[in-house]
Amino acid sequence: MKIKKLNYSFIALALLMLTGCSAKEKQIEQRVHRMAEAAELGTVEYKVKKIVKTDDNQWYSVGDRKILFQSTAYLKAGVKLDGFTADKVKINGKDVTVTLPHAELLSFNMPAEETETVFENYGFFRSSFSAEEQNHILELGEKDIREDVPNLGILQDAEQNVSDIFTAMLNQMGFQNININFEEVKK
Amino acid sequence: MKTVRKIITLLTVIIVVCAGLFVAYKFTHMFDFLKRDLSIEKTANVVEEVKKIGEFTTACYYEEVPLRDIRIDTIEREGLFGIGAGKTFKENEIVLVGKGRVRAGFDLSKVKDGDMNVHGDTLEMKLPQAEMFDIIMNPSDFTTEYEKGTWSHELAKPLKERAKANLEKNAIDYGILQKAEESGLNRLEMLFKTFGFNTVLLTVCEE
Repeated sequence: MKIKKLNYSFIALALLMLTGCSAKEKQIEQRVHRMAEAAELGTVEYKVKKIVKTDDNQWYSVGDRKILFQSTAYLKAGVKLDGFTADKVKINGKDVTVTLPHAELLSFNMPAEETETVFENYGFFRSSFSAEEQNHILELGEKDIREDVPNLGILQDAEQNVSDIFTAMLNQMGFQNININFEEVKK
Repeated sequence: MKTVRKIITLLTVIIVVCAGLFVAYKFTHMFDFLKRDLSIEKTANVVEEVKKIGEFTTACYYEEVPLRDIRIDTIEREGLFGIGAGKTFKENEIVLVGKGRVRAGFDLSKVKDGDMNVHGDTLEMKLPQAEMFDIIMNPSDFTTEYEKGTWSHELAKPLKERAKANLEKNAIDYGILQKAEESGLNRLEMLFKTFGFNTVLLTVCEE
């Protein structure tokens, strides 16, 4: 009788484990996706190299640990043309004035395959950096490049190139006096 | 005598607890909450290359997907004088959630001089086929949900690369290029009409 009870418990446990596993596998297969329309004219790409390094020496830790990565990021800038309407264009015979929005960062790409661990060292009393910590360090590197965008000159280059592209295109359309302006920055 | 025994017991307990905490701190991720306040040193962002482009992005595909990898490490034990020698297998598992974006549209830098023609209020333009410009999965797009055993950026890299390859494939299967072409033709037609053209004829060249 006792053995029978034990058998039932074992079967129940096995079933529970099986359903638990399949639920986990199912969760792994799931993905969320969507598609959206866009209207962005990217006119410049910057390739930026950065050394991302951490010296993790906390007040509560015994010994330190260091890690150094070499990473590459690709930044693309240009203008968003979502809100570009007829009122942004003024035509007077062969003269045309176009008002465009200011350039902004359109794409930031820091691929994992172009990020390398150059050096890692940790003391006897410390554990190595986990994948989560290493990703967090790279995230900080990414944030640092993003914050530096206004100083890199990419936005100025993007606006210059947008202006060149529109001028060439409008020239081909037959316009002679072409003025490209950028919207005034709202204060 | 009783006092000495008590002291020895207390010391033994302290040593065992300390050793346990040390093992837990060094070999597990139990104390990861103490490691969260990591910061990086200020280093230069060096612009290595500047490239003029003319990418008109007209469709974006977004995906969020769980990623899982398991690695079995074989550890050789030498043992003491051959006793206890053999192999031990250690399972390492990681579960990440990755967000990715794919951007596609027309590369206007491929439009040649003779590809645009104007006759009165009619504009004709030949465009290259829509293409994918970027497949993006940045460090900030990944969150680690579960990590067991030894993992690092280098060990997790193949998983991230596989995720990126899947992202590209899924975007194509979901019709990003068709969407980019359809949306791009509409956007360009609207753009050219704002310059006073009544008829805009856009054709996509077969490559």
